[in-house]
Amino acid sequence: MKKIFNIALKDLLINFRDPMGLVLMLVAPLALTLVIAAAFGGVGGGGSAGLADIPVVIVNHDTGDLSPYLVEAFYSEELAELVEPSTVDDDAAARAAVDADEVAAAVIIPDNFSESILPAGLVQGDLSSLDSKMVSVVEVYANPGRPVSATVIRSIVDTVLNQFVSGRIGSEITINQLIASGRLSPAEAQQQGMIIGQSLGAAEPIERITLSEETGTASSGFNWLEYSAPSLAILFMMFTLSAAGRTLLIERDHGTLPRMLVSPTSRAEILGGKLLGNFLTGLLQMTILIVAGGFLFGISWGNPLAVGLLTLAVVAAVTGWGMLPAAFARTPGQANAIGTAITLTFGAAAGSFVPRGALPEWLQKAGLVTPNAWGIEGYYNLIKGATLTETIPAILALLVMAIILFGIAVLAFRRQYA
Amino acid sequence: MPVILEAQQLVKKFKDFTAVKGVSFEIQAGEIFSLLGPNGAGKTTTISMLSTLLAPTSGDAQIGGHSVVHEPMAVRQLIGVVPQEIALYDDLNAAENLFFFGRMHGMGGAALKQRVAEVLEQVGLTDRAKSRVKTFSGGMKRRLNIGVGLLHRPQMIFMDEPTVGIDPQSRRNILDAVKELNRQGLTVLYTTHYMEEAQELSDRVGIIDHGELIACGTQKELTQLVGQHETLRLHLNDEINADDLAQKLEALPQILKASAADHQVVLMVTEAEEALPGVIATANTLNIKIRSVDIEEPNLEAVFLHLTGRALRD
Repeated sequence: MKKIFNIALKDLLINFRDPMGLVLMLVAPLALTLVIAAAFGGVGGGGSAGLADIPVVIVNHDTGDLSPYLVEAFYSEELAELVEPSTVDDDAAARAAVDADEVAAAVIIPDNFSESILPAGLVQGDLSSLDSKMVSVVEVYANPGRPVSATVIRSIVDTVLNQFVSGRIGSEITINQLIASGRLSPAEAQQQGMIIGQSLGAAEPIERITLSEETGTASSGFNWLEYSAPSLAILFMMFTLSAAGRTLLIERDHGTLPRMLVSPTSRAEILGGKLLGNFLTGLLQMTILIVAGGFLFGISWGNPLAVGLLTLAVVAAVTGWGMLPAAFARTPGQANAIGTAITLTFGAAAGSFVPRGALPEWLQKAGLVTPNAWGIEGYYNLIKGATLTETIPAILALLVMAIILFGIAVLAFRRQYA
Repeated sequence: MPVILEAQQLVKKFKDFTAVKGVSFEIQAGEIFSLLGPNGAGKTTTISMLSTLLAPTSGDAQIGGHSVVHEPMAVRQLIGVVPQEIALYDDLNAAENLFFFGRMHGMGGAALKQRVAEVLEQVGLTDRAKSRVKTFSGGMKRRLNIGVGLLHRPQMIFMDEPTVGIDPQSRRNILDAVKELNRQGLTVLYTTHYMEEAQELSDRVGIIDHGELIACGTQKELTQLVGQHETLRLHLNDEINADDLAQKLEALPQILKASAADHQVVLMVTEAEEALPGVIATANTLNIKIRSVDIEEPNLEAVFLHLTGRALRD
């Protein structure tokens, strides 16, 4: 047993002495967590980051001819899968829906929206009415917890408003109204339409319609920071232990493994030492990342005993996966390629890059062969208040995975180093 | 002197290739025994079997009365191995490397601490004990590589070409260290393809070629195989192909054997003074300039040439 610890502690020391290794083990996952949290907001959208059926509430105070174009844009066939619009009458209810994280944003159209673009005098054929300085403000009240969804809503509003800006919609409506009122014959419509369109386009409409974005106060629901911290910690631990696994091949090539083999040490002790060294490396890495996540990002990881047991189980399973490429590869280069492929595939399939809830259902199920999926679910649920009992299935699944993988690795190594 | 190592018909096959073909020899306690042979002769494979790293395909060896096949753990307690490559951890310092391998040999506590200090002193690295190996020169690494092999006070040490690829000064230090270790009572099995090293160090030499031990004995016994023949070593200009000259010279009646290597032609002759005029005349005929000529007493190079018809470095 002393020799197993001797090998394990040597590997631990070497792994934590490598400056580049430390960057990959500790700095990279923390930095990436921070970047993702900054990009998507610490708090994200309603358990899913998928860009489909984004709930949006519209309040239309305008009774003019232009606002229906904006409202109808949200109900158009093109956007049917992207947004899920609803309409309410008052601003307070719309804002409350955003603050309660029921919708991604509220679009509030002011009562002077149409008038600000299409003054009443213009319909009478008075182009000088375009000189009016009336300004309307369309407000997008955004849910800070769903920054991506809110940005999509804002873009839709922006696009429709740009059409007003270019004068296309305004001139079309004006011409229709002039024809309907008998002030313009259909024969004159094309020429007059061009004049009105040019006038509307040249009338600095940006000053007439402005888009204001306010941020709501939603605080519950999905949290990117709390999701990314464990998922990226597991992903980067997988990189670490995949690299650590192939040190057996590197030691073989550099002569230190043969040197151990000519000492009075059994092959089982050497393999046990390497496994323990990798396990301790992963455990130390995860522990540092969990503690750093608490201090740097204010993450409360939940029940300490459950977090401890889950961490031991996750590290054991990842150690098993990390040893596998080295057990079957012939060279460190081969093991590196296989290990990187496994790590990235597992990361993608298990939801290390996007929330598991956003993945297709079949992929969510397939992802359960990875330690990432069980670990992510386990940690995230603990952060959200799960108990030890509720975490036990994940712990057991990871331990079974670890035992199977250790068994396969031992058999493969015995064959390779017989 | 008691026999400490006895190899009996060692054979090692790698699929269809037989690297070692029934090698047998003995080493007496306290002697330096060299396995001399060109690259690929089977030296490292032989030492790997003796150090229990490779299992022989057939045959066995006894070290200190223990079988390498049946009692590998007991054998490993008795031997120290200095591998051909630098087998150290670059990210550990010199002392940490020694502590690690010491513990792998079951050492520990104050005894290990004291022994590490002794070995560092022995290999001249006391002042660099806390420096990481990756900051060491090639020679320093070689010395520490030897130190690891000595750490657990083995009865016998296997040194596999420990001077390959190092500067002359480090090489000199290593050869002196081997002699000093032997003076202290350590039995040494030394492999090399450098005839000069085998000559300088060895009490007895085994000459190995193509996986077979073709001769074994003291240097005197081996050179007697050549008889009273002398060796003429012709140094040619670098750009000249020595093979043509060696072929022509072998046809001369005074030349017993001729071999070319490294812009040199090595000739075995009965009488150097008699042979020289014919050698020079032949070289002139071929328009080859001879830079210098060494006349050597019978040596291991001549023995190898005599036994195989090739120079050691062919």
